Amino acid sequence: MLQIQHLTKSFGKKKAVDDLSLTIAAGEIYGFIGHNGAGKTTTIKACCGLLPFEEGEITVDGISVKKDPLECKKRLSYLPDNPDLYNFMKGIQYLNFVADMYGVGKNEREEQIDRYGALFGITDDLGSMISAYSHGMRQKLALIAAFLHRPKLILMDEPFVGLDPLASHTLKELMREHCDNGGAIFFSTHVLEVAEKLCDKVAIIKEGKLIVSGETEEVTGNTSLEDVFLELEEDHV
Amino acid sequence: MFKALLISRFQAILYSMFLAKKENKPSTAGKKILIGLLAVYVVGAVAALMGLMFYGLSPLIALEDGWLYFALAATVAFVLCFVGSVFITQSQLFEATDNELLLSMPIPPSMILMSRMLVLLLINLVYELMVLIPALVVYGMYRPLTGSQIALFVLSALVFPLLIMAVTCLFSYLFAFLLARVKRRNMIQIALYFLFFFAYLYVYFNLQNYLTQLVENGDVIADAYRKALPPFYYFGKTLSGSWLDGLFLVLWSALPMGLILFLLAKGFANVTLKKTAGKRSVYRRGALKVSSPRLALMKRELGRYFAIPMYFFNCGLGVVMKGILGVVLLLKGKEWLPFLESVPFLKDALAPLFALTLCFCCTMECLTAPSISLEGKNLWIIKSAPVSEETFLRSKLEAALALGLPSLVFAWGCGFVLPMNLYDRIIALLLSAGVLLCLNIFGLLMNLYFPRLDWVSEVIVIKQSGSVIATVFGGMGLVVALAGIHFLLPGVSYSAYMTGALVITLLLAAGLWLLTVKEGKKRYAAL
Repeated sequence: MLQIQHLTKSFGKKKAVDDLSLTIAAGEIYGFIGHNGAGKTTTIKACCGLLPFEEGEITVDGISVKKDPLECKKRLSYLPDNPDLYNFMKGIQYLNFVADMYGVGKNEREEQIDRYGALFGITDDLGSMISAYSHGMRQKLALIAAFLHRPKLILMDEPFVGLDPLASHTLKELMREHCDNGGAIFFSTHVLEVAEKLCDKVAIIKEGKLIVSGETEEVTGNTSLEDVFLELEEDHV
Repeated sequence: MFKALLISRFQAILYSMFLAKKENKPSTAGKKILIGLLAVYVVGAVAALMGLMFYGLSPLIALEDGWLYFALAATVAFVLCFVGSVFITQSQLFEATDNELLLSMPIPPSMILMSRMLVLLLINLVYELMVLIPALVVYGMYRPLTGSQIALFVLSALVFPLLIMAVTCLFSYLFAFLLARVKRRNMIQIALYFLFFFAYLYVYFNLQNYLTQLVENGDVIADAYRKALPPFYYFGKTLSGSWLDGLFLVLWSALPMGLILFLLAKGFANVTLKKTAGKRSVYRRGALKVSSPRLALMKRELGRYFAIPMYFFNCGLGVVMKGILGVVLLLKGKEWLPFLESVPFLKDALAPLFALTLCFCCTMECLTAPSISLEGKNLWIIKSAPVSEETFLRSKLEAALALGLPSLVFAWGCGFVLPMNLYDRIIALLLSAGVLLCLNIFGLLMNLYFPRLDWVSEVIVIKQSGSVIATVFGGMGLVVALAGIHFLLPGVSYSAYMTGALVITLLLAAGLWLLTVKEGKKRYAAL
């Protein structure tokens, strides 16, 4: 579903991502782990066409992000680490706007908004201005928008930040359901316990370079993901 | 603590003025020089206007030891400062994004207020001096100034802004207090901006009448000042050379400021936090309206125009001006006809003059100029959506035209009272619509060249961005150039001249649009 081949992205002289290659297949939840500034957000942004990159290739469902970004964007959803939404819109207006952007039909959008609104317990608040939303509510709204058009691939940057335990649980179930239905999810997180339990595969990145990747069980072996992460971090100091 | 707060205020101002965003590189020497020249031009123009006005008031210098003259100067300074700073005061004191953060720290609200007020006080001092210095210069032309008078001038100029600030802060507090409790707060705010602006224009255009009345009724006005406006009276008396009255002026300025500071500090947290709490309403499920991506983007853009009051007020002034032009034509057009027809030049040139008036109103519209910057941190939404750069840019242009064209057609339609042939009438509409189109494409292009996405307050990109300034001056330049073409082609009929101007404008618009689409892709990708 998502193929990253030899991705290199620099900011000035600094290489934020250095020759990174990953493959995320349909049905997989892929966790992306690394310390602050390791290159996770840069990689995710490059995957959804938000950041141009110098070297390498990224394809979504076989389509090149560089050559045909619009076709790729139709197939994916992106959730940033701190979703800034339109404060001048009501929650429902924002979701309707996103549905318009992706050409979601009237009945389908109504069903989807009803469903996800109820799951995240935000339906009653959809009539309020986004400016009145708490951080968690904005995160929930952005999550509903991400699932709204039934994307094949969802790219998420720290999706659990700001969510209450119930919403976190709901999100985990939705992620699993999405992948069971043939979709794929690539997300970054600092919550290693969640990654360990939820992800089919994980990748650890440090200073723009991929240190390790593979099936979660293979990567962790007999220890925890936290131990592996800390060990790898020390090895590379 | 106070020093740290004050430094952070000034840092914020300097950051917004002199840092080229994204890479956080200091702005170039060219930009600093440009800002400096612009500031000199604005200050010089206002001071020159004030000088002329006080020259008209010079007969008052001989009356009442000259105190009435200075009392009037104080009144003008008060009005200019009040109008110039009342909305800044409101946004700086009660809508600053760091209010919550600062209130969470062990800092007394009075200290936060004082640090903000001191910056505003400096702004008021600049406004005040733009009035008082020309007044003093004109006074000096008629009466020699003594050393004592100059010392008293310095004292008065320093303390009088305290009184202005006290009134401005009180008004801003009431404004913020009321807005925090009303529905449709944005529309009320827009209406108030325009109310102030048109009140200012009304006074400005009737200034000569007021000056004549003031000179003719000096005694009555002096009596009114003495009885009803003591601070202004003491200001005038102080500058006429009385140290005792100077003491009264200090008391009249400092005491209200102290009282206002005390009262505002008490209600500061209440008003600030009330604003951010926001109102919530329960969603009632209804049928959702489906739109194409292009229409959805356009509706979103239109929504933003009215969601940020300063945006529409600053960049959509032309929409209102065209409405006013239409109403004035309807009400007064027929009255003006005999005059217009009595002057041969005016009678013949009515069509191009009408067209250029419409064009001039359109130059006060630059809604696209800050529109890309206003995406700010929300840009990811559009950039991650399956929307082409051209659709995105086109939606911004279409939204601006959707707002600008109806008001243009209205003003044009109201021009039926003016006699001109059908061809000229249609060309007048097309030419002004062409100018509107040209300007909005130019605004978009400028914003692609000078974007600013990491703002903390929308007001910065609306009022201070290079794209807005370039578009406003570019628009005026275009209209002046179009008018100038006529003088280069003597003997050409007005109809032919207008047709030529239309062709030039449309060719310019087409060229600008091609450049916007071509360059836009690269620039948009780099945002």
